[in-house]
Amino acid sequence: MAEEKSQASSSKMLTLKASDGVLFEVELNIAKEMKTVQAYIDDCEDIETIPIPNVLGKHLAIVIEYIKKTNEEYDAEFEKQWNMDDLQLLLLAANYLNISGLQECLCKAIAKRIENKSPEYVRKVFNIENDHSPEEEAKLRKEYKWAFEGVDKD
Amino acid sequence: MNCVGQSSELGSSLSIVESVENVVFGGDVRCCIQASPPRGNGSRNTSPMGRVGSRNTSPSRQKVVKTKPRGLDEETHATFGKVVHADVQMEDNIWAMLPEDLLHEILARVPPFLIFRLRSVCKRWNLLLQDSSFLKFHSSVPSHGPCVLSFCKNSVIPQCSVYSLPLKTWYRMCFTFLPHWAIWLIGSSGGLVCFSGCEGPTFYILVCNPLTQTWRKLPCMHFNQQRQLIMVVDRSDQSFKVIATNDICSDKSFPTEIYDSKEDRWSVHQRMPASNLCSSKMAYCDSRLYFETLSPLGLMMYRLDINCWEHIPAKFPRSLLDGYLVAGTQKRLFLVGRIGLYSTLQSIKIWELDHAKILWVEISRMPPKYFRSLLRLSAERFECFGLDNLICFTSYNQGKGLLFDVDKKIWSWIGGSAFQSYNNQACFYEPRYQSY
Repeated sequence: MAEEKSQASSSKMLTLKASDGVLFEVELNIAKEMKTVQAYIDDCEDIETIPIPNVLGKHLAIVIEYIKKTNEEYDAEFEKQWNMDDLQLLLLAANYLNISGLQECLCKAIAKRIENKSPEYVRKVFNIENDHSPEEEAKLRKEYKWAFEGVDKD
Repeated sequence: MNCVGQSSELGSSLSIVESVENVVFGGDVRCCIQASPPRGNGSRNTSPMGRVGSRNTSPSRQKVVKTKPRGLDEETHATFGKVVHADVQMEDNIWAMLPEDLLHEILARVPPFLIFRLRSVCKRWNLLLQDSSFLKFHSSVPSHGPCVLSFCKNSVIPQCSVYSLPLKTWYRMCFTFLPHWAIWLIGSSGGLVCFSGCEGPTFYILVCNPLTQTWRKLPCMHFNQQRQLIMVVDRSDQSFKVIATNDICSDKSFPTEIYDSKEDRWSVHQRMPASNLCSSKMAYCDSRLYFETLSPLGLMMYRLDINCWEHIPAKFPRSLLDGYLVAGTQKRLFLVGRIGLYSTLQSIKIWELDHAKILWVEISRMPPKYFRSLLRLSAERFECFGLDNLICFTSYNQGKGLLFDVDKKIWSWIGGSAFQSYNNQACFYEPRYQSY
């Protein structure tokens, strides 16, 4: 035990257990990027397996990959592979695990996907009901009609 | 737990979400839209599908149910239609689970212009997107990116368009909130735009935020005339300053005056010890204001920290005409000018000031094809302004804008017709919601 502990902490491995039971062995320095996990480790030093109840294995795998590879280039391409639902679940995972870089990257990505779309499209994505009366909506559109130019087709 | 969406109001759906946050939901929460929130037509499907205890992994469940009122496009077909796992709490709609603070984080990254469009999504968003603390949060997120503001005051109505470089789109923002006397565009900084004009015999300056459509008239200067002006915003300090130097029409020099928005007053300082300004432009960077002068030759620099003028004897490049000073990031200062008028070798070059050696170093030259396209006639005038190592050229008659990225060394055109008028004025503009 003592010999194990004397090894450099960066080579120490930790196991993360996703909500669906999938196990991931990661290096300590990778796991520490997730501040939630870091807090867990701080609280219980000898822990070897940490449960991640809110995140599916599939998404945890993506998150771990992100932490390992993140740089400007990777981040720019990262979000393109995922559909809106995955982005949202990854965002919830990043938020729960407290990984600010990933959270920022995902928020930017989601904002980018809705930014030039019509209100109808945005309502579909967020599953929001339009509770404006037709008059109210017409008034808003008229007041800011310049902002409605150049909208992407849905 | 209750199904999200039992109430038609998103507000109450959200309160349900908040209480659910601590519940394990880890299963794959995509489900067929069997229980979408009511949309005013169609009944709610309260199928137990997805509740604890039911397991359904049949691929046939991947079809989207037609209870959605609008036809779904391909994108949502791909989105909804995944396998459902059991023994986890199911949400009918994963997006309704999004915590409020994450929604704010997303919306804060939507470019400022497009926020207006999102106000018509629903009443809750309409309120949120006008809320001052949300707008403040939006302003604190890194800038959306530079825009070019093109202003033209023909007769009564100001024609103003803003070109967003990141979105590559022109927006005809409404500037009718400005008083009629504001006809000269001074410049823009930190999301604010500065105009001046004469109301009757009196010269006035105003500062506005085009997004919030608010404006503020500044008190008169001690020597109140149309003078060379520049406005700079200090975002860390939540304030702005306007610096006034010489008379614009003649070489008459006045004591330099500085307006500080925190004190709402002008203070009077040293007169610029130079005459014969040889350029209509000045540049501000790193708390210093730079002017070109002929006598003494070089640059006059006003230091805001110690409130005095210094001379920088940087000799101008040979055969330089029309020299524009443009500020870059941090301490970078550029000189942009035409050389070789009346010669076949005429072109526009860009130099950068080497502060240590006090000399101008050539860093780029406009490629001949761009030069010929920008300035059809050899003696045509052009305008030049910059922001953060981007330099924009506009020419009066061609109605085009040409951009040069100093770092990437890339030249590109700005499309669209907004530069067409001969009395068009333009500057860079970074839209932000914050006012000062």
